[in-house]
Amino acid sequence: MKQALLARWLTASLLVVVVGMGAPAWAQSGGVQDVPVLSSQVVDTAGVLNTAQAEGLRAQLASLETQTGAQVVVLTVATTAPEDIFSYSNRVAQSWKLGRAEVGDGVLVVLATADKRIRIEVARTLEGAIPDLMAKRVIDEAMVPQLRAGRPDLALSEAVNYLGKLIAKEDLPPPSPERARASGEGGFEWMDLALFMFVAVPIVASVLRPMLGKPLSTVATGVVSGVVAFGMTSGLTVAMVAGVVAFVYAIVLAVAPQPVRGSRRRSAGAGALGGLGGFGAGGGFGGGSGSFGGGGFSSGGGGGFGGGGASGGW
Amino acid sequence: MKTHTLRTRLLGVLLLAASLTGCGYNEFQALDEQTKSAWSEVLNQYQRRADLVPNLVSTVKGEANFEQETLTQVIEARSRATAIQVTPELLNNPQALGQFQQAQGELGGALSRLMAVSEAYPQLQANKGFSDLRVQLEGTENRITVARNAFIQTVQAYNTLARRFPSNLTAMVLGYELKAGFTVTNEAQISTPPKVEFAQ
Repeated sequence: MKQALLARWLTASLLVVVVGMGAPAWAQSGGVQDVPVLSSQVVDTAGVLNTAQAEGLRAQLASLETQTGAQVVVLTVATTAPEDIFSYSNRVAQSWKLGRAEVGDGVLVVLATADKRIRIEVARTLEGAIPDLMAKRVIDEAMVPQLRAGRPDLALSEAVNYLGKLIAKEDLPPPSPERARASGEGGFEWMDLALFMFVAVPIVASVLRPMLGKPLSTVATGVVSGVVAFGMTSGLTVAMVAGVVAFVYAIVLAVAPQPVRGSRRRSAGAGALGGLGGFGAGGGFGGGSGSFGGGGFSSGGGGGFGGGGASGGW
Repeated sequence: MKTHTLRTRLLGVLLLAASLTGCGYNEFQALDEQTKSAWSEVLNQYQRRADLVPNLVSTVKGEANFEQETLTQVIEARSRATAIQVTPELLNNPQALGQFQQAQGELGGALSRLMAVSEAYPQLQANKGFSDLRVQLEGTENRITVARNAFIQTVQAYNTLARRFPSNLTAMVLGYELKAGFTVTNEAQISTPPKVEFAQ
C-alpha cells in the first residue's frame, strides 16, 4: 500500500518537473509575415523568375555551395510589410540558419518587388569577405541597373556571381564532399546514450535493488533514467529513445529473476514513468537543427546573422 | 525498519536530484552568462557607432554652409553617450541603464536627423566618402537593432525563468532579481519624423 502511494507520489512529482520544464517558453508573432518555407536555393514567392531562369540560378547557387561551402539563398517576395526590408530579411535569415553549422557561412539575398527594395543579408562569418560596403556595391553595380532595365533574373545571377567571387577570396574551411553533419553531430549523443544505458543503468539498478526491493527499484530506475535522459540529451530523438529503453529495461528488470506477486503491474507503471521522463525531455528541448526537405536541399543549420549586409532600392 | 529508513532516504535523494534538474539552477547560470554576452554585443555595436561619428562629422563639415545646429546636436549627443562610464554593474542598475539608453537613443536620433538633413545637399550625396559612411552607419544601426533584440530576448528568458514555477523558488532562495531590459524611452521623438527643411 505504502509503496503504491510512494509510486503515485513519484509520478506526480515527476509530472510537476516535466511539465515545469517542458512548458513552451514564449510564443511571439506580433502580426508580421510568416517565414517562407526554405524549399530550395531559390525561393521565388513573388514569381519574378520563369522555370528556366529559376533552374539556372539554382544551379549557379548549388555550384557556389559545392565550390566554397558557403550557402547563398535567393528569396523574392512581393512586399516585406509591415516590417522594413532589413527586419524582415534578418528574421528570415536567422530562422533559416543558412550556412554550414560549424562555419556559419550563409548569405541571403532578398528582393521585394513591389517595395522595390533589395537586401543582402550576410552572416557574421562572412562579414569579413562581404563587408557592408561591398554588399552595397553588389547592389548598386550588379543589381540596380538590371532591375531598372526590368531584368530581375540578370540582377540576381550577377549578384550571385559577384558574391561568389567575394566569398571565394575568403579562407573558408573546404566543403565536405557530402554533408554528413546530422550523423556526425548525432554520433556523439548516441555514444553518450549508449554509455548511459549500458553502464550507468545496470549499476544504479543493482545498487537500488537490494535497498528498495524489486518493485520499488524498477520505479526508481525508471525515474532515474528519465531524469538523467532529461538532463543529458538535447535532441528529441535521443530523449525519446532514452525513454523507450528505460521503459524496456524496467520491464526486463521486473520480470527477469523471480516474479514477485504484484510486481508486474507496478513495473509496467515504472516503465511508463521512465518513458514519460524521456519523452518530457524531448518535448522540453525540441527544436531540432533546422533541416528542410525538398529537392535534396536543406539548410546547413549554421549562420548567426548579426545585421551585416546592405540594403538598396531601384 | 532499517530498509524503510533507507528507502525513505533514497527517495529523498532521488527527489532532490529531480528537483535540482527542475529548479532551474543551471538554467539560471546559463542565462545569466548569456545576458552578459548579449549585453557586451550591444555595447560593442554602440561603440562602433560612436567611432563612426567623428569621420561623419568631418565629412559633413567639408560641405560648405551645412546646417550647423544638426551637426552640433550630433557632436553633443555623442559626447554625452560616450561620457557614461560603462561598468558591469550598469546591467543591475535599472536607473543607470535607463540613462545610458537615453543617451544612446539621443545619439541615434541626432544621427538620423543628420542623415535626413543631408538629403538636401546634392554635393554631399555625390561625395563617395559620405555615401560609404552612410552605408556603414546604416549597417551599424542594423547591428545595434539585432544586438538589442538578442539582449531583450535573453533578459526575457531569464525573467520568465525567475518568475515561473518552480524555478521562481530557486530565484527567491538565491536572491536572483529580475533583470532590467530595454524600453523605448524617446517614444515621442521616434514617432515624429525628422523635419527636412530645404531653406537655409
